[in-house]
Amino acid sequence: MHKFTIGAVFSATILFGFMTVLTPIAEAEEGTGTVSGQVASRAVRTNPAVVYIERFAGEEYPAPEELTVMDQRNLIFAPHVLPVLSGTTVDFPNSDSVRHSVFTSRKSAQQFNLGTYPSGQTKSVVMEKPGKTTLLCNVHAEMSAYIYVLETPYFATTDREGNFSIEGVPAGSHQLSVWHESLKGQTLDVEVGVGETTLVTFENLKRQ
Amino acid sequence: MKTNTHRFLGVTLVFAVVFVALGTTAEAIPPFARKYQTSCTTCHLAIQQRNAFGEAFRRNGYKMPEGEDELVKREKVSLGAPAWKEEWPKAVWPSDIPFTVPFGAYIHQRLVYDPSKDDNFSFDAPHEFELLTGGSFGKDISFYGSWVFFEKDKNAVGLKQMYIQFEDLAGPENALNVKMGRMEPAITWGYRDSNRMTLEHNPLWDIRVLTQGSKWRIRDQQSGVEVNGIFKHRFEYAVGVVNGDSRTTIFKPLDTYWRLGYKFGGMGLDGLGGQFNELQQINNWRDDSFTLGVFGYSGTNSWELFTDEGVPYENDFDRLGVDLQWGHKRLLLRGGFVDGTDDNPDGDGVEVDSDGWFGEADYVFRPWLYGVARYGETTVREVGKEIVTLALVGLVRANIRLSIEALVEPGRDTDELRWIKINFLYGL
Repeated sequence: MHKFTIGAVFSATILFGFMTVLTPIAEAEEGTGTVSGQVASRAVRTNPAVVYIERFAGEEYPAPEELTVMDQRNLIFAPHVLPVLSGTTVDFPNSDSVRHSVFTSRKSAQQFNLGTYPSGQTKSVVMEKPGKTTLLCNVHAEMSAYIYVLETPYFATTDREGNFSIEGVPAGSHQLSVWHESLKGQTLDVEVGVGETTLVTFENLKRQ
Repeated sequence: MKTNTHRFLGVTLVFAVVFVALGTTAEAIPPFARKYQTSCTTCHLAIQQRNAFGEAFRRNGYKMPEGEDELVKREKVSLGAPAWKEEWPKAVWPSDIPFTVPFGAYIHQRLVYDPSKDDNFSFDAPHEFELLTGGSFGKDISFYGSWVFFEKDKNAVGLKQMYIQFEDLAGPENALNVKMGRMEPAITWGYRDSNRMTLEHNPLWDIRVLTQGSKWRIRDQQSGVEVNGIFKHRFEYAVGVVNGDSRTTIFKPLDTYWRLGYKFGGMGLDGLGGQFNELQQINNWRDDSFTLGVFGYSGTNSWELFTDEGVPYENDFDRLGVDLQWGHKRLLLRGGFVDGTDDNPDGDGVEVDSDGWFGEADYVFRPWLYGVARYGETTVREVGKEIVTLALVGLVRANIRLSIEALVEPGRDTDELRWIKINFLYGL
């Protein structure tokens, strides 16, 4: 191989390697960190909580292109709690063997009624209104679910122990909030450092 | 007589295990154990005596003070998901009911030695068979009932308790509850008849002035309505209006009662503000605390009260009392005092006073073995009586109790030893 070619290949390899290493550092320096922690309440063992960064000025987020699904199967909504970014299209397939009739409660941020539809059919809704939307089934009173529409993509649901982790949060001062269907909400001020993990605990949450 | 006494004591000592069984009404029922798939000992020292957590469970409408949803193991039948609350009043408020009707049963059997009888020994087996039910509808309605199917050779004795309670009606959690039905009035909360360690009833709650009619006493179940609640985990109150005379239906002036109490230290009355974090099976009998209560009851007796000439009459009466309880490590001390006035208990217009007090010490030798010593004095119609109750209480299993219990009346004209009983009780 010609020396020039070898040199070019070698240089390109070195340059690519540097770029690979430097790029994340450049992104971190641009200002993101992680917010992790726990929602300290027994209530989250039954149903998860949604932890999210409140909207902050100057930021707009385009609706994701991928669809999100709120399924109906075995006479339950799945998942029971679904956080989505405002503008997300949510599909409501009826994967059950019986008909369902999905509608939202009067106290929901966004109101709609999909009517009764049979097994195998899917209906869709663009979720735009921030806040809690409660889903009920007019046929099966025991079914319920929540779609929580958020204005930033920085959110997570808790696991059974109440743990959560939100990555890629812009560095700076934010308000971190928690929502749970049977607990009163809580908001904390958090400081997110570049490349750092900020630990937060929501505690002393009162039952609704 | 002395020889028989020695023989009985000898027989008793032969028993490898001496335990105490508790009979009669309990607010401990096996369905609760099934509902949460937890042992009876989660809530009880020895059935029926409740520990601090069990008392909080009862006050919370037979639901866990915290974490009810995740602790229930038995399937429930949903009468609407909780989210339907958002549709009210356009829809029925949601709730749930137990998957199966929650029944439990108690069977009480005993061997009795009574020196006053010609035949001193007797097998009282069964002494009692009682059907129990209790549970909740959703998060804020509870119910409890007990029916005695057999007692002292009589079948179908009848309903003892059956009530429904609506909880958390207003204000902070546990602040305002309303109970309706047939119940043990809350004046006895400091030492509930259904929460005692011995078979023998507390002498204060057994004081009777009437010699006919209902022969009313404090521990009798009454039918009516009661408002009760807890503030700041430790302050309790209750006020009630009941038929009186232990009747479910009786047209006469209604009886009223009230209670105030405060608990210092230990687990809060509502199960919070203390050490509760998880269901506990170890050392859950310990509750270092002091509780003080005052109570009053005003009523009218009129049921089947007749003078010698057959003329019906009424008796107005009052009771005022204090109860206290102090727990420290393995020792639990209780005490109480009641003062009473009846204006016409015999239909002759003559007022009768009554009073009584008691002190009791319970000691935890082992989580399955307890000792009880109680002394009480009562005075009715200027006739005094001293009552000493001694008991050794134990658990063969969490739902099986054996006991030996003795009652002595010092100063009695005849046998001071009234009886010795070996009790065997099991729940299912």
